[in-house]
Amino acid sequence: MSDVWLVVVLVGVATVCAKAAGPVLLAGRELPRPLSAVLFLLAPALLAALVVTQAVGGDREIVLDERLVGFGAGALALLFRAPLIVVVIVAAAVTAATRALG
Amino acid sequence: MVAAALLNARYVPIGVTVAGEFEGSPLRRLLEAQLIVDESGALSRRADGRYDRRLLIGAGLLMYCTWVGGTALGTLVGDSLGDPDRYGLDAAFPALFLALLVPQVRTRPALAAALGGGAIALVLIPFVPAGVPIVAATAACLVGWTRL
Repeated sequence: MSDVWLVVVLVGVATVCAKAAGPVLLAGRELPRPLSAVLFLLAPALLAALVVTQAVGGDREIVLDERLVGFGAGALALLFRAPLIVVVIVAAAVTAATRALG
Repeated sequence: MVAAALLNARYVPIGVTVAGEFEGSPLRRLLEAQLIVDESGALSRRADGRYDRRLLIGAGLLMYCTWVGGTALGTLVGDSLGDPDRYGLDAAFPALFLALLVPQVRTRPALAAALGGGAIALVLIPFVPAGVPIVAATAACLVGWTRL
């Protein structure tokens, strides 16, 4: 087995464990209130971090490129209550157009 | 490899938040838990902070099929398409996550957590391997402590 596949398998096993930990160990139990109050905010914190890293993240650097133009167009579409799929397509299309022109 | 494992460490707290909706044998919970991804988690989150297990699993299954199918398609015909950035696909992801985020920030604490998480990620990007900013950003949900 090559090193690459070894890494794939190890990361895969780690991810299976990470995903299973909560549901296997805590299933069906209500969380204590202070904990649930904190975890309630996990989704927005995590999604915001994903937005930022995907919009301007590079390899240990902030990258400002055509992505941002498309992302801004997608955000604008969102402001006009466009459905999710339209937002995604607008962001990709505007980015592609900006790249083609620039 | 450490970065990849750390990136997926975000599934530990996500798993804890949805754990209350899972039932059945440990094996069944383990298998169903594998369908947790960012998108299925965000979609199945209801306004009261609980999660719709059937929606989570349905969305997860759909994600799995399209993800694996798309990957297979990509390896087969990807070379002939050239650089995917030419199609602006790298901008599709932040737009997708933004669209999933917006319905989640209807309350002040949620907005605070989102701003905090985004700020933490932004500050850390230049200094740590990819994946770490996302895990670190989960610390922003600690603003919930002050609201008890």
